[in-house]
Amino acid sequence: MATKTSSVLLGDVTTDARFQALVQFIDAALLAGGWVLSSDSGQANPATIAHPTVANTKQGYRIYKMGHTLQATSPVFMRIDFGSNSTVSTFAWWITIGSGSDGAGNITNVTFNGGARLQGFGMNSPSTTPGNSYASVGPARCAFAILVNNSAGAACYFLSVERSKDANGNDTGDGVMVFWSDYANGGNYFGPSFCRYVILAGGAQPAQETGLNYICSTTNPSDTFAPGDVGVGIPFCFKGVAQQPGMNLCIVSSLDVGAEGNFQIRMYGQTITFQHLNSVSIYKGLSGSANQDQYSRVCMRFD
Amino acid sequence: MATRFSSTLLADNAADANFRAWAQFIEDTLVTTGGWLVTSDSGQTLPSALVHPTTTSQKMGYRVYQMNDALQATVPVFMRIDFGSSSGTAAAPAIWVTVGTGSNGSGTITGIMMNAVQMNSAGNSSQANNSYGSAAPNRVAIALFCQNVTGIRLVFTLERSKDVNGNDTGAGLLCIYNSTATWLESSRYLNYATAGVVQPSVELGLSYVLTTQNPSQSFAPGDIGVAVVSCIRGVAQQPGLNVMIVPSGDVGDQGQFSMNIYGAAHTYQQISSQCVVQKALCNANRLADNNARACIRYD
Repeated sequence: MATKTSSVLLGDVTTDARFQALVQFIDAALLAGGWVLSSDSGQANPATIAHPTVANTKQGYRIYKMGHTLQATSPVFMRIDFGSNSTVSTFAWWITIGSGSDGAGNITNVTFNGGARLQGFGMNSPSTTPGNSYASVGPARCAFAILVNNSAGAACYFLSVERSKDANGNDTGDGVMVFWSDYANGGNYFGPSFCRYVILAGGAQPAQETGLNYICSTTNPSDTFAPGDVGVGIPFCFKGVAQQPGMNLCIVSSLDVGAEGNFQIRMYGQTITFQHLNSVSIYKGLSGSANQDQYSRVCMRFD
Repeated sequence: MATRFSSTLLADNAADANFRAWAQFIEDTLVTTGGWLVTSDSGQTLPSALVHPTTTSQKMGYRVYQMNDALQATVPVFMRIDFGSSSGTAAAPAIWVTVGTGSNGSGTITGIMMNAVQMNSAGNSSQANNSYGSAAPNRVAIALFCQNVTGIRLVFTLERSKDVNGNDTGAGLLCIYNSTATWLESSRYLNYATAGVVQPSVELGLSYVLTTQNPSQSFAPGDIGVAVVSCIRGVAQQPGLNVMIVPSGDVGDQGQFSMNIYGAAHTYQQISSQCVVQKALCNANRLADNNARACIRYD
């Protein structure tokens, strides 16, 4: 597992250097965390990829695969396209997940279609104010929160991918759980307000959940009782019914954790460090709809 | 465990007979159906002798009940119910529920865990409604006036806290109810009262995990999502069995279904499309989950 931070990345990609810095941050974090670059042809070089000059344009892609024992029997390939948002000067990325690649840059047996961009809320206006960015990657998971304290406020490019879990928190080959933020996907959704359970075997897939489901006290700050713990909300993905949760993100009340602070929780018998993502809040899932949980705060695994 | 049903109760206090009928349903659910005991406290009024209220928020009489399970010997639970009128209109039913560890023999609950919380129906109606009760010596779930025309219902559930296997514990109680009449929205974990005990805050807005898909999607082996409601004591506690939440597209109006929880099959009763749930948000915020439907345990 590896973590990576940056306080100098910009949402404005009007120069090659700025665009390349974002791409390099993502690429380096994945490779350092144990993902493996595929041998597909046509992949971009993060050091030389050119910045976009047209809105909604992909400038190049990289294909990564999990570097995990389950990869032999339940492979996960992820293609990331890097490019521009609906505003040309603003970053966007596209995620495609499947079980393989054809050697020429195409994901095969696609289970998560990267037709939709992952855009950060508030990122339609290019910002030249540096934002803090965080990445945490292991061979069977990754979590990114890019530009969390951008001047646009509750901005964040968020992506979390991890393998499904059994009751003990062990990885399984059944699926991957994906959480993401997307400004353009249906409205002004803050933070990682979208999730999907992706069945790796293919076939009929669970629908995207717009609005996350988690349990947090309405009391802010949380009440504390012996032995002194406070509540932390764990988001659930759905495959018809709620699935065993992952460990890549959690939700806290705004007064329980300081802005961009770290804290530890015990989950599945492990101690895991989480990184608070400043003012990034989330939409909560309702039956057939969603609504902003204004005082929620998103935290990502950071170890 | 047993259930009780009535299709004739009116959400109405305008006549003694109507007032007595719904109070009697509560008493019968607890005592006849569920095995709770009526204490020997003085000052109690038989439901059949109640006189209907004439002003708002008026208590007209009370009964004191106690659980009758094995834990009662070591962690006793006493509950006083006052019968009366809602805060909005004298003709609309309301109850006040007080929970503690004992009573003083003259109608006063001691070792208070929850103090005279008023639970109102949303209004009065001359329409006969379906009412559902389910109780056992260690729990009760009551949903009165479940009509699908307007939101009149009055819902109250209480059960002992659970361990990871779903067994009762003496640590506390789980209480879910509608206090503001319009929504099913209130939950409380009640710490078992000992000297100096601090009680968790009331949670206004229920906490549960339910898909945004309506109706739910189904994948092998064919199950659909059902949400249990978590009471909060600092952190979410092991859930009880009294209340479930489902999407409106999954269970028909006042339909029933069976599900497994804690390794046992239980029957649930959907309590009408007008029983809208409010879902919890952080910082004392909540939001109507308009397509979610509440169900009470019904076995």
